[in-house]
Amino acid sequence: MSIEQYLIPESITECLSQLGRFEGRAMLIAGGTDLMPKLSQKKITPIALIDVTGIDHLCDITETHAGLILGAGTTHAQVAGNEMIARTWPALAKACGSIGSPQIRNIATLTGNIVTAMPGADAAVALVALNARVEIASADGKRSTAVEDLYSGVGQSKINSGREFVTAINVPRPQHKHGNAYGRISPRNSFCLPIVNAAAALTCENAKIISARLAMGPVADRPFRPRQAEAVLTGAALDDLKAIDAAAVLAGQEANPRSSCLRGCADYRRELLKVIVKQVIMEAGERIAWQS
Amino acid sequence: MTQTIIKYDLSFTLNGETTTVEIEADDRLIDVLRDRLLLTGTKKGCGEGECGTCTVLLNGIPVNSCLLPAMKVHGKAVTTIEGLARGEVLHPLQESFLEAGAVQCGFCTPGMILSAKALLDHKKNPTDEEIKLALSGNICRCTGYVQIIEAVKLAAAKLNGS
Amino acid sequence: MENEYAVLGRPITFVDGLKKVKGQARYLDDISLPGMLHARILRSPHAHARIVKIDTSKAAALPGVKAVLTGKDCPGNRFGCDVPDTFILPTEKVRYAGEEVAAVAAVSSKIARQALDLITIEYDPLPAVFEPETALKADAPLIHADKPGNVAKSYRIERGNFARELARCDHVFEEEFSTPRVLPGYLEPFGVIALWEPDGRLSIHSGIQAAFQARSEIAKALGISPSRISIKVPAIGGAFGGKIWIRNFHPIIALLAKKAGRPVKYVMNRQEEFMASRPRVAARVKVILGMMKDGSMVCKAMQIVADNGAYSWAAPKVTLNMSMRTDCLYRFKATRTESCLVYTNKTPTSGFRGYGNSQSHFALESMIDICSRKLGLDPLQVRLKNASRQGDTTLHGWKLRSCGLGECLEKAGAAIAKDRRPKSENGGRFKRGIGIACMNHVSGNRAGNNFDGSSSMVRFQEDGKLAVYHGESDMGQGARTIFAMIAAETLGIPVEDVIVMPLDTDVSPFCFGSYSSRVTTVGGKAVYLASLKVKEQLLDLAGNLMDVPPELLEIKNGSVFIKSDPDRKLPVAGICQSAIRSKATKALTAYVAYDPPTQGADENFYGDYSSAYTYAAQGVEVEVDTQTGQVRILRVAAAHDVGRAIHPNGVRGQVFGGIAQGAGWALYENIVYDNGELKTTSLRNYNMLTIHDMPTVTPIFVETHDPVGPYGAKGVGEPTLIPMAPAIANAIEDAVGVRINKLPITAEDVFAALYPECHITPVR
Repeated sequence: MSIEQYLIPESITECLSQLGRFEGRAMLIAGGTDLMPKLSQKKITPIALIDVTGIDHLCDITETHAGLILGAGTTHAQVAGNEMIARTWPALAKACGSIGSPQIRNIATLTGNIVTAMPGADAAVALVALNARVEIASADGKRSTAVEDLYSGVGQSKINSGREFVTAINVPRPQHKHGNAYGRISPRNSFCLPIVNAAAALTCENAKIISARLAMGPVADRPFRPRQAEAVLTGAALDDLKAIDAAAVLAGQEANPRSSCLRGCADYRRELLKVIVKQVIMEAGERIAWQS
Repeated sequence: MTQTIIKYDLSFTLNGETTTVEIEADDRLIDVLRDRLLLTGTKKGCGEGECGTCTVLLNGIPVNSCLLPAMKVHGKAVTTIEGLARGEVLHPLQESFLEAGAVQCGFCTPGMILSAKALLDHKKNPTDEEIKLALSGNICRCTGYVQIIEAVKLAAAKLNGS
Repeated sequence: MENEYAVLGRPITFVDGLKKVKGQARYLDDISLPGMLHARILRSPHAHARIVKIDTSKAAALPGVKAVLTGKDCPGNRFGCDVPDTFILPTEKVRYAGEEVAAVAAVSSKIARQALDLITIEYDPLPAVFEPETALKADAPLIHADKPGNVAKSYRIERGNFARELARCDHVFEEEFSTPRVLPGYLEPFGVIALWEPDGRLSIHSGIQAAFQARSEIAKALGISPSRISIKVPAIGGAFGGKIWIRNFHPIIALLAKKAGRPVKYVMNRQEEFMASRPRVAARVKVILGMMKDGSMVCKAMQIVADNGAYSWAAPKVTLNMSMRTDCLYRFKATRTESCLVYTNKTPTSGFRGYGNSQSHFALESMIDICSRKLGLDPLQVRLKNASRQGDTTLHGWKLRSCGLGECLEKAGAAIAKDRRPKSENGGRFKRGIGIACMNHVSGNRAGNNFDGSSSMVRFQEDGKLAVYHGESDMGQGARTIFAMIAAETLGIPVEDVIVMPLDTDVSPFCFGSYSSRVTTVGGKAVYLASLKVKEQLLDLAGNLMDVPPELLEIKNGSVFIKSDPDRKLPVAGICQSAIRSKATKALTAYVAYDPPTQGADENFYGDYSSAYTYAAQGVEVEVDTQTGQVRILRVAAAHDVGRAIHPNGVRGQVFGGIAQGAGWALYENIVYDNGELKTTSLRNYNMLTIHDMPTVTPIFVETHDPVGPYGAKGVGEPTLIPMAPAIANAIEDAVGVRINKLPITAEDVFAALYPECHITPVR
């Protein structure tokens, strides 16, 4: 079975009607960096591709009072190079700058990073820590869902890209003193999949952490939040190294990385998680300290 | 089951010239360039975006042509290695790669030069770190990159007229 | 020091660089012939299985398919290097996952791929063995019926009396080392275009390192005479030893082309490169080193178990090198090696930059640091004390006509010790250390009475331009540039006036090929000698024209002049014009078949077998992140005895490139199998160095002016990789006190060694 058509809709409405016409046998394509090798290897066999990057304003990055709106076509390079994002959401900027190569970052979209549902996807890990949500349009209407709730398994998204369409990613603006950070450990210094990665988003009041969100990958079937580690941090003083160490250790224990002959054994990856989780907590904390 | 494969007239600016070529939905840019337009300077090293030999510039930005549906360049501008020299006059990067001895087997060279061009197009005097970042998606197995970095700096100096 | 040469040692640009920067160099996949078909190859999914039935009828019936080939269509000739155990396509059983089983030629690659899906093969899986140690067991399944014990080749080489020397040593140390399969990793996938000419001759286009060896191997496989085949070598996108020998696909595609009656192209895809190319021979090396208190190294023994994979390609020769070469690095009194090359149900292994020498250097050069530390001695001083020196005849009978090992050690040692970064930083999280390792290698390699030279034809054309014909490949290392420079220097003409002709075995002089770091040394010498001969012819004629005895003449800047009266001169172009276009009738052509003055190794592998022996030492500074075990290489000081640096820019490139590959082998690269299943199937999970991983490098040329090499030059291609891995292992121990005896030294390995209390057991 070959691909018969390549459609480039100009509006969301047009896109949805095209999706409907193919009754699930068309696939949405944004950057295509993940999709193209799968098509070449016949791992997936849609009969039409619907390219969403022609839709007006779909690649826009907008800052509002409520936060950040990333159009569904926003690329990793756009985010990594955006100074405004680097100021408020450095975790996201850094994660977007870590993935793949410059060529891939120039094309690959954040939406794709979410929809391909890989548990170690750098941008998605940062987005989960930042409590981002996506807006999804379908023939049935619109809905908004937290990024972390979109996963149903490794490589399996709850978004059905044969019927549904992500229109935007919303990253909420932190309400209090806030710091976030992202880090990864990989076998070589660039152009490489991570052995582990992590992001932290801390909110603070009177030098106490009042909310902590951590996300890590690839250590579960989705970007993973270590709830116990978050709980230990919540209420702790920003400079409480003991609490930070305890959170990092817990994060390692809560994670369930696989032993892999390519990425290292589970025990080692847990040890790395301790290091990288501590690092991102400290960095996020430092950013808050600078604001004071 | 019979299929109706639609043919598209892909129209884009290729190395400064308007080009139209008939393609199908699943054609990749690399194959259109190499097999249809006979521009074989764009190399196929892996076919999955992991080596950078197929790098071309899309509206001035480096992309892997092996990962790019050809349809995506409709109405846009593509630069391949063949578009750099003006006749016999080499682009400063091409000159510098020669002078620095930055070319061994040459298979990574077209992609490497194009990534470097995208950098120098918006940064006059890149630092070593900026050069490394810009070229981090281009694997070279021969040179250990040292003379490539030298070449990019040399080209920057030439472009700045020093 | 003033450079006395007009061309040598000068910043000449690579002669084929221009077309490469313009994207105009033609590699195999850039060539298209009229009527050309595209082939795809069906590969075995099983590591070991009997072939019960193959049905190709549906594939053959697919519109667009022009030929289908299976084992029964192929002549049953066995071919291969030292141990010919390979068939074109198997008929009886498959012996590794990835082995070729059938092939299709079609009007497009797409259709050929579809046709593969229509071939049905019934297999009867057999028990498989994946590790040499298991394959050696008495109850292991036999991979080749005629190879008992799964042993492809074994060697026992002893010089001096090892037992006696060992008995008198103050200290005896024993350690075991292991090195993995790694890929040469050239960026241009390997491939071939085959075409049967109307006169019944076979034209093969393929970017191969050893064209004349390819011709004879393809002839052997097809059962035809070598002169019925012509090998045409286009631009080669890297090779590093991985494209020396033919693959099964060469005869397969030739047969498909015959069946289809049309040219057929086949280019491996990257996944096939991982599955079915020829990785470096993985080896376990046990070393026993006998030393005196004062640091004298007395004797050395090695026991080697090496992984041949399912068929024998260069692995027997690689294992032989592994078994011998390090014996000549130091002045041992006795050495003994017992090695065994074992069949496994994995992809056949072969040669990659270093060709076995790299594996044993990792073992010995790590060993010397381990032992020196135990004795409280400085490893650098131990090396210097024991180093082979110019004038030595080594235990294997090598005559060291030039040897700069001592100087390399001193210079690399001094350079890496200078400007060191702090030994500890960031509260002790980052620790830094330095290490050094040295190496010896060859420039050519004669077995028995075999030819080990090179040939060249040099011919002036009527416009004064010089054509150099040669049969040694340029894979990017710059052979053509070296040839052009040597010819230009010798003939007193500008490099731009030299054209190095494309390699075609129909036209090019007979050569053995670009391997063994021999091309500059023996290939360059052939060009030098041929150029001298043509020079004589040119000066004879010029003497006639100028009415002076030719011995009074010299050539410089493209003109012949009288030495005592430099203003009286004739342009070379003019002389060539009258030689070729007038009754003077001079050929101005010389063909030289050169063979170096070496005796070759005898049946016990004893004898002076290389035109020149190369030496080097590399110092490395590393930084270890003690929280993650990650190692960063900060600096490398690389001192190489290159004899003479003919093309300094090229030598620098070889140094940087070899360091990058050596560092990759040491830290990142590994062909990983999980219970026989290949896990590294893509560059996505096989990490070669990126630009961000490359350390700062200081190249140091030690010029010993070898008496045999052209203008004193020796090889440098392989030596730059060889010392990297042990130097890194030594530097890691210096930094954090842990010793890793296996490659690659992953962050996980370092972490596990740093924190034994964490009980980390890396997955293998």
